Amino acid sequence: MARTTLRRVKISVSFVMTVSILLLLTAAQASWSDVLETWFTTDPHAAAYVGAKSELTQIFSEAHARHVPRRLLMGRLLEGAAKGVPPDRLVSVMNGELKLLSRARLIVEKARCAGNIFAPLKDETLKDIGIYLRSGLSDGVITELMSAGSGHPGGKESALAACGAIMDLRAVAPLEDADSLQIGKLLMASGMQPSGYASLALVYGLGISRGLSHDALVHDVIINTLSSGGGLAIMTQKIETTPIAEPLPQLVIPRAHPVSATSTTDKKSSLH
Amino acid sequence: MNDICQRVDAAIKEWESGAISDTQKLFFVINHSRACQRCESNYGALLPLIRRDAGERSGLVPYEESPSRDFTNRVMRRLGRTKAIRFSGSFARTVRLALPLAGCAALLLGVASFIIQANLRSAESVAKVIFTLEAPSASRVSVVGDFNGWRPDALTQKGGTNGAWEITVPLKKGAVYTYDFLIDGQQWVADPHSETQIDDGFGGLASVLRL
Repeated sequence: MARTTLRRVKISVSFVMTVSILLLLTAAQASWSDVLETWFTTDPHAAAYVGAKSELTQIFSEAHARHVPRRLLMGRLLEGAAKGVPPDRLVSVMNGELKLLSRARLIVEKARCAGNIFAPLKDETLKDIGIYLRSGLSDGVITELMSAGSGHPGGKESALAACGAIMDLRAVAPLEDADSLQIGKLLMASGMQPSGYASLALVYGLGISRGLSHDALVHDVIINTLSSGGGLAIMTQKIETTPIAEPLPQLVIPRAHPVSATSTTDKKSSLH
Repeated sequence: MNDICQRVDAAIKEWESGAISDTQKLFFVINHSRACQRCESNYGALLPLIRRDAGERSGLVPYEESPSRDFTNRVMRRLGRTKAIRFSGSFARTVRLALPLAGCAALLLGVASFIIQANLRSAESVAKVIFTLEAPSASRVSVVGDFNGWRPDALTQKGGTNGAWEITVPLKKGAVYTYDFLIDGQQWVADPHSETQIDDGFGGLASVLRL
């Protein structure tokens, strides 16, 4: 009796483990192989794009050939479909996205030559670099910062954070590539926590509100402070001790892109 | 010492004196010396005799010259000895049943521990982000972005207080997100207070959030 029970337990355990392994293998194989097909059959938004199915399939096949994660392309596809753009526009954007992610892939490969900080390479890293490229950061600046991050611990995080800080700064300041690169490298060498890099745009905004010129802020305050080993506190101190030339009637921070006129938010998205 | 071992001992002495002539008897002595635990030590004494008579009697080859066969035999003998360890009775049945169950329990415990640790790690790396928008004329506002697969109905709030809309979303730290507000399911609006807005390629803007 006990022997029969033992045999049954053994068979059950073996069966469950075998089935689980097979399911995992099948799921891994099938997860992205027909993701586009699945989208066409399950998403109600997809009905409007049936006419563009062959072009989209072609783009996804090319992405596979270029080792671009199709999950990232799928994200843009979902965005376009949710926003209800015409099929030809969607195809055009998807083509552009494939090229952009290929550039991101190339940047990673170049940075890998300087030191492999992207092992293992995550899809999120490519996605982040893709967003930085879309924001207007040049391939050269990103590649240089990524290469600068190679070879020391936490280099990837600090390089990506530096790119993000430059992206934020360029949203409010007309920053040249040379200055962008210099500030990015100084940030990475400053010893600041990467999460603190984001405050640089706020420091710039504070300087503008105090009447400082763009050149003074970028070179005298930001670059000089970072070069001499200082941080955000010293930058703020420098700005606050600088006599205000002329009181500004209203703080106006130039944006790289216009703010949507439909929104009247007076609160800011905040972290808790 | 049993009768056979005594006969083998006698035969070895007979062989040493050169009086033995029956080849079958020699093989019996050799085989028994290899197989019997008690007589195993005698096999070393047989080797000079085997070498001495190898030229005269066909098939008489010392086993030290065929190590692979000897090695196999030794291993098999040792394996044979381990078979002596056996459980029996109800205790044996309990042990046989308990071992796989204990293995399964250990496996489940390991998996559960891994899941709990992964959850704790992910809880530490998640930030609560409050998206706010003031849209007095709106009846429904959603936050739609790559963090929810651009599904318009995933994060929706109905009836904001005094036209102020607030939607809380837990997001993983250390990542960059793009998103927009969707008002009344029709109007896409970039978050005016996001630090960066980028061209979404579809004729509008996408807000960028870095955590």
